[in-house]
Amino acid sequence: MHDESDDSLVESLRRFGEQALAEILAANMERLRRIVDLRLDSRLAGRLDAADVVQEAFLAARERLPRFLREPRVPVIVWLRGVVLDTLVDVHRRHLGAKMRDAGREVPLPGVASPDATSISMAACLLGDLTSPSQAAMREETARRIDQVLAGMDPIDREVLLLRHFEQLSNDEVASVLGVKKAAASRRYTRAVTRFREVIEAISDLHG
Amino acid sequence: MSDSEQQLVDSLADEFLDRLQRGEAPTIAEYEQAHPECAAEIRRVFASVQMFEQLARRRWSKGLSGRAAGRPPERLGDYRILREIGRGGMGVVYEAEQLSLGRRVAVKVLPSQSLADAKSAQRFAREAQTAAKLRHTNIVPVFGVGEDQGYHYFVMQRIEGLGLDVVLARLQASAGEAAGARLGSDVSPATGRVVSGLDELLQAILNESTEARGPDESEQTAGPFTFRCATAYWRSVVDLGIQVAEALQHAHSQGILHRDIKPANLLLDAQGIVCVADFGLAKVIGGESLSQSGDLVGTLRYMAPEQFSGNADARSDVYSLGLTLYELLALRPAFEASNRSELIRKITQDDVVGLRRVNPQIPRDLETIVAKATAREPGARYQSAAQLGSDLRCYLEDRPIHARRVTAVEQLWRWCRRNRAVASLAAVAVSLLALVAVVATIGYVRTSRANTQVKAALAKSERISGLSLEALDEIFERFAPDRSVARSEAEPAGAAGADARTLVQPVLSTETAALLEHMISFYARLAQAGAGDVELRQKVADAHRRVGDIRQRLGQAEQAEDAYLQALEQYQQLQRERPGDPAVVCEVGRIHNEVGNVQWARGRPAAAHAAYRKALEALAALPLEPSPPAQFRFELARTYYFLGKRPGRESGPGPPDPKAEPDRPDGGRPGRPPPPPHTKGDRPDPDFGPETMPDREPRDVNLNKAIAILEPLVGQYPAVPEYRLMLARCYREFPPQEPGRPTPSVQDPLDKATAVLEKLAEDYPDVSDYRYELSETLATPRIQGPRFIPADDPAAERRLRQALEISQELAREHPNIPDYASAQIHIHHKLAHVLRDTGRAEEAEADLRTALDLQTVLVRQLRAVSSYHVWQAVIQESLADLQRERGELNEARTLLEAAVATLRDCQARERTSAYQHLLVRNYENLADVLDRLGERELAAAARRQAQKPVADGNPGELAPYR
Repeated sequence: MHDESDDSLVESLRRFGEQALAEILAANMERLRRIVDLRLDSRLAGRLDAADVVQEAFLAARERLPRFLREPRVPVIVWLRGVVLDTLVDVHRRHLGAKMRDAGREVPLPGVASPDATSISMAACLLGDLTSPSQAAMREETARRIDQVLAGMDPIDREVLLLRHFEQLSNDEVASVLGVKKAAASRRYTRAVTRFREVIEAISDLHG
Repeated sequence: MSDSEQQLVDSLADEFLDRLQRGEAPTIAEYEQAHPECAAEIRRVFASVQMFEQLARRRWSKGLSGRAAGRPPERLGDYRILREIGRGGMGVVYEAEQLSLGRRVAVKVLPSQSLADAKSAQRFAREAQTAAKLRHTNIVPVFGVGEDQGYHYFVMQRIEGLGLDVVLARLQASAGEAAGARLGSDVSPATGRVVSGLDELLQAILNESTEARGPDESEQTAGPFTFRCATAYWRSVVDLGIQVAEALQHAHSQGILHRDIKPANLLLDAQGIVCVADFGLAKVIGGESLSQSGDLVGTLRYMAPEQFSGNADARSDVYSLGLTLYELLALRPAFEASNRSELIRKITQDDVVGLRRVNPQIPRDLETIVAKATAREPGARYQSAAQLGSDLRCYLEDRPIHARRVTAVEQLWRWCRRNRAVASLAAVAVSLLALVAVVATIGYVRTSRANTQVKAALAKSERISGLSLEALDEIFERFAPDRSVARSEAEPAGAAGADARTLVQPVLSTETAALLEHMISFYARLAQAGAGDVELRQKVADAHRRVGDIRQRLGQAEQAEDAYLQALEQYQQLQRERPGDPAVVCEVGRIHNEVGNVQWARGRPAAAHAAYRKALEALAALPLEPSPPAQFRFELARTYYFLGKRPGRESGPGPPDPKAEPDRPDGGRPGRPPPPPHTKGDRPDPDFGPETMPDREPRDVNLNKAIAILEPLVGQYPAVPEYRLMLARCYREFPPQEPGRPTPSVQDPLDKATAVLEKLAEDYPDVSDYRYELSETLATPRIQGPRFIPADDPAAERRLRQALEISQELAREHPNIPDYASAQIHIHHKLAHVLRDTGRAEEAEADLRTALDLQTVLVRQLRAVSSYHVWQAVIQESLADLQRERGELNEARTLLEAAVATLRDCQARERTSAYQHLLVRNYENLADVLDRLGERELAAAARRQAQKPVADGNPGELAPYR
């Protein structure tokens, strides 16, 4: 991954360390919060704010910065995203530790854990602001359909949609996260997005 | 479809999505047209992309507006609900009709969950009843409270106006739309409707919403607003602040706190009257219900830090009003955060960014007032709403405000309280205590910047946990800053920009100098420890020089000279060891120049010239080829400038230059006496004649040499302000049109100087010296001679008024720099003469009285400086002259007697006859006044005194006629 803007980010991290890190983090706050929002366990939603997790991730990133700078393998934003996800795992362990072990499941990280965890929060995200009673009914129905569609999708396709639309990563960054070539990431995205629409439309037709 | 076509569509889809996410509005059609061969596939894919992005975006762009709207009740008790007129954290407000009285009222229905239990319902009723007792023009009258169908509500007078939050939103939108065109800067008619105050703005918004049928649409209609001038807007904000402060004061005096002052609770009507709503409600409907209502951020934003720990008093309301004013002035919130925890962290930990950093045009006093109102510590705020109101009023009436800028002591103390752990660590090392002492004692002005710097310095010293050379350097650099030359030299042509622009001038005090002198001993000890270490010895020498600079600036000539001589000795030693080192040569030249400046300020131009000559000799040690370092060239130019200086004329108080007030009257024998108030053609003053400098080389030659060096230097290093300043000073020194002399070699030198300085003052608004120089230049007569001749120079009055404004601002900001006070007085004096010459005796009198009052204060503060006494006499004489002309003989007599006494006292104390010519003139005038008063004997005595060669009074004896 060698685009120039990322080189300059790495360069400023080298020169200004923590201060540059804080700036990059602030500039990408919205994205990083979305990463958390999408994955934060609903049992924690009332107790934890996405910003708190990002704040904690900042501390972790500060620690891991020297190691990253020795050999930056991925773009800075992708690295930061990884740190945020790790932090999220930690946070879940800390707060839900016992339960998680009992259930024998991991944090619902896309591609890693149960597929429905992600898609459910995606559906909620997609329909977040419909509020009137009739809308609420419709919303419930639509959410169910979207869930169905997402659940039926290939996990990687679903992840690509999430990365591209919710985390607003660029295609290059998505490629880096998935560890595939850019063209492959691109292909994957187009396929996922057209497939999603086709299925949604097919279901709508069925249910009239 | 081929693979390559597929790849093309994939990458186009990427681009399409990127553009959507950047906020652009790409169309599918444009892609279809550009790639007709894949049109079908593009349509299929892109439509999907668009759909998904729309779904995704809905979630994130959702604001607070989408909250569910409960169905309003149709009737509540005696009130028939007509329509909703607003909503907020405290509930929904409806316009209603009171059926029994047939009047329109506003009914606020509280959130249903807020008063769930009977106890809190009772509490609400009690609070509302207390609030209902408040009667004040600026408080929305509460008619009563009630409960019906499970709704708790209270009834208020209907105010025909808008919440300030709505007004603010419009203003912010306008500021955004008028891209580039700042509030109050040149308004092109295209940027929207022009209004001159908040009331007019409100009228316009109200009209607009009636035109647009219904308030809901008001936010979408019509274009932006622009204020006719920024000052008018600021004043209307201040006026509003005064009204709210009065309302708060009234409520506080009844023991009622508001607890939730914010723009939405301040209703402005079209007459410009502002009314505070919802007194006491926040206390009842606090906590839980608020956070559920979703308006949390809107409410938290204006909350005082102590309110988060459950404490509130009158000062919390002061704080919230302060933040509201801040937002109105800055047109953006003081604290911005996207979520609750971040906002709370900011409010409780961060300082409000200075208003002038948001908009440098905002007046300093206003910034100071708002900063004081919004101090994080309640103890540092105005202690009552009345105090805030009174300072705002002072601002409005152009009187000096009471708030001070926060000093470093307070800064540091507050910082320590917030960072106890670090602070106590920091205090461990003895050397650090010294640092802390230095930092603590110096009134360092710029809040947040200073804060981070202090933190950085402490952190650094802490890490090294010992006597840290670096920290010493930093402290020295901070509080005795060198001119910016050295720092920026490495970055020619514009590179130094950003950093140099935030250049801030530290405030100096005698304590600063004393502490820094103490710091020198640390350097010296280090130098001893490192014996032969040249660098350390150079630092010691440099430190002495800087202390000299500070002393000089504070007007402590002798101490300054001592420091310079020590520095010189050390540098000369270094020079012997390392001949030809350009940096050392340059320093030696520079210190000679500074010694010259000190001599000059003490009224010893001969000694001064000798020193300048030495500087020239020292600098001559370095060859001029190849091109020497910029700093060296600059020093050379400075030397020529000093050699070309007009006798008796001083340049500003800034570090490289002499620190005495301009036009000082005690310039010693060859120095120019104060501008004699009435040197009419028949009485030429010998001291204004041809120069009596020891060196008779025409000044022009030296000044031209200086300019020849400086002009290319400025071109090469436009980002170094010192070069520009020096160039301006050189221009200013040129004798303008002098009768009987050939045309000056530089055309309109004063205009050139003014232009350079105006730009400089604009580029560096925080460096007071540049404004000082500008004011001095504006106050310099265009036509050779001691005074303005309005007939020949019609713009004189305008320039003087401009100069006066600047100097007043400076004197207010830096009350302990006497030069600024002096400058202001001298401009009043000059202005008075212009006014008098143009037949406006009364205005002239007012200016002279102001000058005299200010001078009297100065004399009281700095009794030892005799030039201040002499100036007092000069102003008294001017005023006496004016009164004599107008027939106010008794006052003229009193003034002249006082002037004579002062002058005799000065001569006796200094054992000099330097003021004899002034004394003689005063005696003559006094004799004339006495004659006209019929006091023949005294008049004769005065005449005898006028003819005596030298006054022979003794210091204690002030009787003027003996």
